[in-house]
Amino acid sequence: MTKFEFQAIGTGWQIDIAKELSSEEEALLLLEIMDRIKLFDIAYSRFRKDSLVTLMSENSGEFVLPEDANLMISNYKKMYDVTNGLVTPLIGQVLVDAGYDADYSLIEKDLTKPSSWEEAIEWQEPKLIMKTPSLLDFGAGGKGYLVDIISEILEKNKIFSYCVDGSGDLRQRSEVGAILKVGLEHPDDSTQVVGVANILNQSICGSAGNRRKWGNFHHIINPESLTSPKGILAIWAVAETTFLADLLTTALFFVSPEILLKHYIFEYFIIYSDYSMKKSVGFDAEVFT
Amino acid sequence: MDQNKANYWVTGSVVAVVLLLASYGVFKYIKNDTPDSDTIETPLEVTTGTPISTLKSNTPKTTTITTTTSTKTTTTVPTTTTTTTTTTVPVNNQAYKDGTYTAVGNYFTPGGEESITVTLILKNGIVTDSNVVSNAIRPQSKEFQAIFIANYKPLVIGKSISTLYLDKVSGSSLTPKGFNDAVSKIKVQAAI
Repeated sequence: MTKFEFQAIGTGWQIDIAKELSSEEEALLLLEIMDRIKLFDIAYSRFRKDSLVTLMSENSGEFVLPEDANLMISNYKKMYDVTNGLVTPLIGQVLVDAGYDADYSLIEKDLTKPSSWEEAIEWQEPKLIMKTPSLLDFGAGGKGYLVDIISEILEKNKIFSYCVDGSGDLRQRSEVGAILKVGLEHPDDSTQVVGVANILNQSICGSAGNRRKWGNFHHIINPESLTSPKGILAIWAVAETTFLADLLTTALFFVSPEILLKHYIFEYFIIYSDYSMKKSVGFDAEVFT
Repeated sequence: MDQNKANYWVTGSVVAVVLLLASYGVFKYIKNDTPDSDTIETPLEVTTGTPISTLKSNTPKTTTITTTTSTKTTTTVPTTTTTTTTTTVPVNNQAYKDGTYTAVGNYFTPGGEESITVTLILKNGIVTDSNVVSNAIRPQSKEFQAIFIANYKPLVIGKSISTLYLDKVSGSSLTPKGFNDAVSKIKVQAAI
């Protein structure tokens, strides 16, 4: 059993590996992971002044993106289309203007609707064409994608039983079928959970407006209405990849599960603001009622 | 659709009040409001406090508590209660004995009196299960109670993390340190 704990992309991470690694293997693996995270961060973080995303927010033109971008951009584009543009990376400037900026000013300015995908960007692998300078935000799925990327590093190193946990957005794999018990945090009280999900060879991601909340907003803002969705307290999605589960937690704030299920395979659990809930049949969890 | 929603809320509110009063009655009963006796197997009547004058006519007035005669636990419900404990508010979970408790909540509709039976299973001070049985007579009440029964269960409740075995916790996720710091600063500023 090997455990790594570290801070990255502004949040806490924990990686549990079932098998025993030598201290040398551990050191090399951690180094590989940390280097990979740095590459991801320098490309996609809108909180860094030296990132590619920041550069693209100031300049139009063609930008060559890292290899991982194709999966990132194409999945975002699919979700953009499925949600009629409600899940969009072009939400960046809206989040900044609402106060969720690099300095966390949390001071609201006037909000402007973001440009459409077609107006602002075009993906021609490996180039992203910025038709107009726009601040892209990959917050909806970026962390989940990074969980998958780290998991792939583990698998490349012949580690097939593990859990990569980016503060509650996590991916678990077990060769021996060991179930991971994941508490579902109460949206009002982080010392409580409202249920326990059983995760096996899946990813689970959660999203709630309870913590990253300021003024009239939380971390999800509807690009059409320029308001944060109010009817939902918390959402969890279980899917094969963490990237998909993460993107779905944002999408479910805007679009009904029934619509999303036409395009994706996933399980979900939603707590509405009246504390009623909706859970898909296959969402394997004990929920306290 | 909207009409149904409205109906649901009306029913929901009415029955929530019924449930509250019923629970209050149960707890009051468990706590000390019954004398030491061996006559528990006969139904007991408990009036749940003074009626609130502002309540409308279709709100519950009294709650009848009936202990379940089938379980052993109910016969020991009113154990030795001393006068010293009666003045304290029962915030301690230990104050409630394990067991199955049933209460009938009566309320008045524009068409007359209706009732609903609520059963709670209490274990270590926590309601581990509940059951609601409709006693409605009138078609509309039947409909309302059915909507309530179909919907009341899925309301989530929290359990303390420390009481459960968990490998992980998932929730609001990605709560950046900087964000938390900023919020703390704002709280400090707001306090000045």
